[in-house]
Amino acid sequence: MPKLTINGRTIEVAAGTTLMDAARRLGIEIPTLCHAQGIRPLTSCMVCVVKETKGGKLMPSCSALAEEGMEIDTACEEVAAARRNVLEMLLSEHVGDCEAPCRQICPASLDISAMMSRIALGDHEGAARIAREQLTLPATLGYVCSAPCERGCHRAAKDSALQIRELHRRMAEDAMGAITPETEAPTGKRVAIVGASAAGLAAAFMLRKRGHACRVFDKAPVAGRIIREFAEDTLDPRVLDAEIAMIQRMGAEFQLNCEVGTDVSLDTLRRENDAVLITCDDLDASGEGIFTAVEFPMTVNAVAEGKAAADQVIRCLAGLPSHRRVRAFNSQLGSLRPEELDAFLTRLDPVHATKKTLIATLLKAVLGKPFHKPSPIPNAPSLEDPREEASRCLHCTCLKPVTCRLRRYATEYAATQTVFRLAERSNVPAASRFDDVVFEPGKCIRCGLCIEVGRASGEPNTMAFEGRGYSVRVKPPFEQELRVALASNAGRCVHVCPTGALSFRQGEVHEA
Amino acid sequence: MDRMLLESYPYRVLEGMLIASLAVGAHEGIIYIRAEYPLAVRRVNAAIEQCEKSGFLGEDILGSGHALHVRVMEAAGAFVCGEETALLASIEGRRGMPAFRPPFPATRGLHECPTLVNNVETYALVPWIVRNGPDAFAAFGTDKSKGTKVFSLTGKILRGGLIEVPMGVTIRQIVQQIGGGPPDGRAFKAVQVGGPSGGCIPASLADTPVDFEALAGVGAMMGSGGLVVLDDSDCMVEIARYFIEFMQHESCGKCTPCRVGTTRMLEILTLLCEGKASLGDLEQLESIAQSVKELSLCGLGKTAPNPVLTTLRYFRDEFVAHVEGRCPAHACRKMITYTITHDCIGCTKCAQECPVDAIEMKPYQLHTIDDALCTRCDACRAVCPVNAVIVD
Repeated sequence: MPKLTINGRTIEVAAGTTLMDAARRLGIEIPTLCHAQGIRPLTSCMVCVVKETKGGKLMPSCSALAEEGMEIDTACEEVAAARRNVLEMLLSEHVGDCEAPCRQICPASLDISAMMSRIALGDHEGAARIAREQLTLPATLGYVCSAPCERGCHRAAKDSALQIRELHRRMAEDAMGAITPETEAPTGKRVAIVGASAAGLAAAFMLRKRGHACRVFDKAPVAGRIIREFAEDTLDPRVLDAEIAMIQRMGAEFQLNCEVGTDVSLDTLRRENDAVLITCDDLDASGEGIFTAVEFPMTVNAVAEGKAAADQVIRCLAGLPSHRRVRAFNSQLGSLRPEELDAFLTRLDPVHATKKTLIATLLKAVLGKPFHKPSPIPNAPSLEDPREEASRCLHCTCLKPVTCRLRRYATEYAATQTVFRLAERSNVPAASRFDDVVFEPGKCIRCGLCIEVGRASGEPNTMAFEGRGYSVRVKPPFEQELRVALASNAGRCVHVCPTGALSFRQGEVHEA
Repeated sequence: MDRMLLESYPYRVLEGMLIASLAVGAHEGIIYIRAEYPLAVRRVNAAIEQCEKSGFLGEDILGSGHALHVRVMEAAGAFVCGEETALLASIEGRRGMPAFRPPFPATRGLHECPTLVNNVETYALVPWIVRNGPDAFAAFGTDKSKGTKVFSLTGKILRGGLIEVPMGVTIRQIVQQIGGGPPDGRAFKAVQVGGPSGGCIPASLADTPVDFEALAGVGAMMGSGGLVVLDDSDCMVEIARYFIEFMQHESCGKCTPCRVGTTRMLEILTLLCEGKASLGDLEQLESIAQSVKELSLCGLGKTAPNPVLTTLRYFRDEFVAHVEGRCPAHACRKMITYTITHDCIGCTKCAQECPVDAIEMKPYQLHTIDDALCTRCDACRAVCPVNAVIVD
């Protein structure tokens, strides 16, 4: 029964216990990619290293056994740096996007892939709900947004970018009329919002959804003054009016022609409310219960700001400490190369080439440029068939954005993907599918877990290593189909795969 | 030199294995030889056959009751299979990839059985030690490193070949006295000790004794017993790149630091040899090398950065020169140009030798080299009778 210390705490474990298991018994979780319960340690990823402080050596805790008198440190800066180094090496050969580029670019982080799925299924109300809850002013933004999302669209490499802005505008406008978004039961908490433009409106929307009462103050006679001034030529004011009316129907109260500081004092607001959110720059205040958000001139930025501020207010009202938002790590493909387009398109359902995209492809081949580009002026091209347009979406987003442990640890250890400036991204290798399972070799870290699962199952021709060294790959052996290599192990393989290399095409719902 | 031992003295190895088998109670012996050494395979097999006929191997050896069956395992020749756990995996028919130790093979080895794994040279020494006694063996060598060691002396050296020296002789003695120094009056610059994953020791440290501790102290190792002598025409950056290229190619690809780290190192070294790297790249090279050394799973990865770390330690100025666009040894092809001086007598030999016709044949006139065509093959310089071809 070896006795050792881990992070200064003493523990006695049975002989043959790994350091990782010993640490777990003390409630210390050690990150690992290549290790899974019930599978012999593979010792391939090296993310699980810990330091034996007596000898000064780093060792993989998934395999190293606890020995009498060991002094283990799992959390020192040296260990963290080693883990970060290993993660950055893995990321330097990781080919894939964590989030679709359109969503990465969108300041308000609209889940475009999910919205497109709803539209393609004909569920316009579902699509509108996604747009509304993430953009808060989806119809207005459909007119005034500069649509940076469309500039990141991978589909542009094939024919043309999806008309994302046009689609969320259409979905929102079609659904707007009578819809009142659901709100949670009243919390009894009151929030005053100063400034009734994009940031203020977005915050009001988010706060009302959570059941907090809110009253929005603005010195102007109408709400949304800055949006209106900013987009005089492009925005039909009735669209904004309708969206403001919707927020009113959700229960937000508006007190217009009322300048805070003149008509009503900030102290009064602070006294009468549980929190005050200031979204106009002519009021400078701070203190407990006072929050600020910048009303950026770009409406979508202001919306994102309002959402983030509302988040902080909600945390504060729930008695949680405010937190700095840690941006999740994002692996990025960058632009797609012409030669890898076809491989990229094999990820999900083959997208049916509609007449329009066929013509576009042909014209592109002849003229060497896309047939139609996203228009710089909103409301110009009217969409004939939203469903057809949405079905062009490539759903570039990773299918395991939440459960991917490589992403989780990259975020945790602040690893970046571009430290090795000479490492050239390899081409996106073709994906393959078997029923619901998608195999994306570009996201494989060669840990060997799926191979072990196959071996344990006793089935022939399961997943295997091919090649050696840097070019080693995990794949179905002998050019077999994925169906043969996964066979009855598909679900277990997806489950043990630490990254999005093996995933369910429906995403992560199946994980639970 | 293990190949030489197997080809020339297979009985020594077999006798050593036999003695070891008696010591540990083993009844099965395997000699793992790469198939690219067919002569070694043939001779060892013949020796085993003869020993079996004479009753030195097989059942009830010389009436002692002890049995040992030895066979040859022909291997595919992966460098990493010199690592004992990878070697055992390969014998078992699995991929030649190492595993974490402990458990060591002596506890759990081939087919989960305790296994004694030793190098050819080790076994070959055993009969001599048993016959002459440990004291006779310990009379050679230093305090901690006893006996003799066989080295493969190669590179820029007058008399290369396999040498057996007592532990503790200095590098200078080996290079100058035994090897006769570099040919053509070139200056002795450094020696790469211990094979591709050994370290590069500069001439200034040539008085370092060759023993396990002293070599480790200067960043090298005994390793495979390779001794590559380098002279002043060798570029240390190119040497480092060359060895990392070998190690990167031989990495089995199992653990992240070795698989990815050696590749990232090779990228930087290649760029350095083209004169396109920055000081930042140099720093990164050093930090990756350190990570690969500390974090790799097996000996291959742990030692792969040695040539880089030692050349950086002893020849940093050469790396910095490459960042500045100069190769002081005039060896990196992308950073040198060949020109012909007015000493040219118009003999046309260079034009005749040039494999890419970069030199126009102009009898009795000054010849010139078309730099765009020149591949820096050095043929013109080697053939010029008046040393009119110069490298800058």
